[in-house]
Amino acid sequence: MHEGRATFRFEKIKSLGKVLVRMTNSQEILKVEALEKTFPIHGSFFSKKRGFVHAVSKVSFEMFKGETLGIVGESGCGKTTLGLCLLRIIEPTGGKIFFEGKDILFLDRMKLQALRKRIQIIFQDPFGSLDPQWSVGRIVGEGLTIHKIAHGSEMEDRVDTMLKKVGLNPEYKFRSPNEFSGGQRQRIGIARALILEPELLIGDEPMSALDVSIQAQIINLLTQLQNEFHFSFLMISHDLSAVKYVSDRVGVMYLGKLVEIARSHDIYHSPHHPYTQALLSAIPLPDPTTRKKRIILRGDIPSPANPPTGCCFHTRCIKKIDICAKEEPKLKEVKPSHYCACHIQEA
Amino acid sequence: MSDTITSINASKKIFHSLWSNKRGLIGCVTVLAVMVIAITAPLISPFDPLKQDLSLRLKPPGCKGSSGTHWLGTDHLGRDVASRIIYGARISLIISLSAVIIASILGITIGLITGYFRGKIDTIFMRLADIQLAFPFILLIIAVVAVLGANIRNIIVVFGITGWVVYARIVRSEVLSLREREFITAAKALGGSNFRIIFLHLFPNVGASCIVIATLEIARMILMEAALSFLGLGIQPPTPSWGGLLADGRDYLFTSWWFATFPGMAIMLTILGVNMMGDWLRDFLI
Amino acid sequence: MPYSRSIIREGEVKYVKKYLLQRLLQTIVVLVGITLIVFIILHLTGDPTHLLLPLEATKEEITLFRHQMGFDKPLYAQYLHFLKGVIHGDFGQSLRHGQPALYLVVERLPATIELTVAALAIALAIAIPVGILSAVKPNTSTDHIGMIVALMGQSMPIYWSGLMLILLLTVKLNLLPAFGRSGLHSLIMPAISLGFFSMARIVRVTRSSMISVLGKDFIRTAKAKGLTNYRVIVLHAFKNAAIPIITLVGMELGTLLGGAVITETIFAWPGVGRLAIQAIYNRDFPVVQAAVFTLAVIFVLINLLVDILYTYLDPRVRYG
Repeated sequence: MHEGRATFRFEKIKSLGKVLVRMTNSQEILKVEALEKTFPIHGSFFSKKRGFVHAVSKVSFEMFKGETLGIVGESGCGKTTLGLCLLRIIEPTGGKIFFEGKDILFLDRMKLQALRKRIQIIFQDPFGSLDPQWSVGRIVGEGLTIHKIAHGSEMEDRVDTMLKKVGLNPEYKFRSPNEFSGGQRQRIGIARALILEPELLIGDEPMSALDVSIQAQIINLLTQLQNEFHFSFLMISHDLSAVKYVSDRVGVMYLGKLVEIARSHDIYHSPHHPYTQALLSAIPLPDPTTRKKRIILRGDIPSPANPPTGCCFHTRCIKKIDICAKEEPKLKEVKPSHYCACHIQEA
Repeated sequence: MSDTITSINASKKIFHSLWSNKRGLIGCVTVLAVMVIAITAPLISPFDPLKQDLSLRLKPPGCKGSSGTHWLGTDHLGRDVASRIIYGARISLIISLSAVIIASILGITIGLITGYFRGKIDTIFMRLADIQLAFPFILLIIAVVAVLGANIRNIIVVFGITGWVVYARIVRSEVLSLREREFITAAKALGGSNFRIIFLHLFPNVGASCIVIATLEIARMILMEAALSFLGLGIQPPTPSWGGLLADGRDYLFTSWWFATFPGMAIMLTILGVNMMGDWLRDFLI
Repeated sequence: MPYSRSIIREGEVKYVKKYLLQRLLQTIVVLVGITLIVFIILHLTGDPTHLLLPLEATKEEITLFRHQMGFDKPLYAQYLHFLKGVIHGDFGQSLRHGQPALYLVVERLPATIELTVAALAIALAIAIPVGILSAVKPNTSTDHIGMIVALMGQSMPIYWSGLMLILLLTVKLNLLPAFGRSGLHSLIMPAISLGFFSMARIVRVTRSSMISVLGKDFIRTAKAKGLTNYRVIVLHAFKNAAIPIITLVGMELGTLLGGAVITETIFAWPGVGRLAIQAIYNRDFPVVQAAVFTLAVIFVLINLLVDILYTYLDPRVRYG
């Protein structure tokens, strides 16, 4: 129901004729190759490891300058871990990441610091992502202080400008974040990330904790800011309808693997992977007269500590064939710019 | 400008909170009174606490002396009990406040570092804490002071160095949960150094608990110092300390009851005040 | 979650064993640490000879003494010698009484235990009913009185309350003997004065623990089922509230042991604490070491027992 309302509002935005022109050129800004992150599991009373959680399993994709790439999947599929790996807040256990052509996995301290100015992140929890003991102005300006970009009155000016850009009164900079609503706090978080003028912004489920009406405002704000600052936006979410209208391309993750990636329109109108098809069938439509075939997945999601052999999805797939249990499908181009990892090649 | 606005707001909040919590108000007023008494001791003390007058030995409260009334009586050397209590407050406060400052700095730093970095350093300090807590504390202090000698400096140092555990434990457990919060991840993503995260982000968020702990620790240290002095292992006579007064009074318990009663009451009222203030602080800050 | 069954199920036995093994190892580490600290205390100022001998001792006496006590050997050798002695229960001879130090300590141990147990019993006997009553009728006058009593108990130092009790009951009313250990009469005042402090803390924890348990849903269910108030409170609520109380009691035993030192001094109670204080006055350090070590060991063992009791009582602990 809620998703229906959001869809409705996004439709409204489109129909208001706001054509958002984004500078999309085919220059690569990010290239991820076979990225892997496993976490060891420790038993409580034993100190020897009892296994590994494969949070991110050989994920590869590219991102282009100025585009918005959406990464969707259910909770626990590894998308947040992926985002944190790109920032190197979590260190990947395998694979490579190239940012603007340079390998960022083996950087010295100074270069890593410099990288931080160029890739930034906004978080899911508006109530946990701002330090309750700091004032709003100090929070927003922290990046400037850390990187010694500005201080004193120049910093204040920049903070004021940034607050205005996200739709907040600069007078708020003296207040504590506890005095603000979820939506306002997210704006503060956005201001904090964008004040460094990064080239890549990662949004880790930035709207999941907000009310539906606020979600629309924030999405609007992000799109507007993207036009102004020209950053590339990696939006991680489990909200399919929100991702649909914002992204140029969408990637679908399941159990740590990227199973499909294509242009937004293609994903929603001709999904190839059975999992994507099932996901899309679950989006409620605002029109009660339309009927949709709802694909219901069998069974429960397997544990990421013990993923299935072969294709990670085969245990729940209704279309599976023999080979699915034995061999892991690779991402193949099934249509121009449309990649799918599945042994069955049907639409 | 922003600082004054926030500090005006803060004092308003404190005032309202105290007004509604009468116990806290009494506690704070008591503590303030004790501090004022200690600081202005030379001004308000009716007699010189060290001046002996053997003709006025063990006189009951209210007796008239050469330069005024001994409201609380005299001790076995003719000294005014009230004045000795007033000066004793100085000793108690100096020792407890200094020791608390040392212990809190040590304990908070250890708590922050072990909670944030974990690993070996965490195990070492937690084992150390276990070992230290295994001792009946008093005995440890007594033994150490006996070996090193009983003077103010040693007492402050021993209290301070052994008092770190309670701060470290609580700070550590709070840091363990705080470090998973997103604002810490945000600080890392912005490029914040470990130093910045620990002292600018984590520390302000554990500060409230630390203040509450410190308050209760002050009470505990006043009690411990008095215990030491009572056993003769603390501040040595003739310097007046509350515990020492009690020890002297004990010898004359059967004849001159006032000698032991009033210093003890002073201790009790002070501790009561500190405890009430600590309770209020806990409710106010957490 | 109500703590229902305390039976340790089959699958859990392995975990419990591992946990207890860990705790045991931890305890041993702590005990070794204690020996280290006890050893270091004596040597804090370097050579302890001047602490133990009177000032007038001649050079020959000093050298002889040092050799006798082994102070002329290197520090680590002395420690190893000390450790060996500890394992055999040999802390050396008391410098004052000429008897083995540990023997003196053990001789006095029953008196201290008697005092501590009595104090704890009194504390619990008063604190738990008061705490429960306060929790059942929160914010009424009963509650407030109980809390004020607790607050005062926490603020009264043992040495003072002991003296005041003597003043009242011995000097003024001549009811109870003030000194020495001579039967139940002489136990009452020391036990009360020692227990009063702990009682205060136990009251507070009982009250807050009961309040939080009474607010839980399963209590409402019990009441809805029609159980009488008494059954509800005592059987259901208290059993669950007891766990933090038990933790506190475990910690309080340590505080009580420490407080016993002072109480024994005031009331001339012939226990380990009084022995330790006298030994410190007399600079009889073998006895001091033996006393401190014994009390510390007792405390550590109590903690271990409390932890073991925990695994039996609280199923959640077994899962780590």
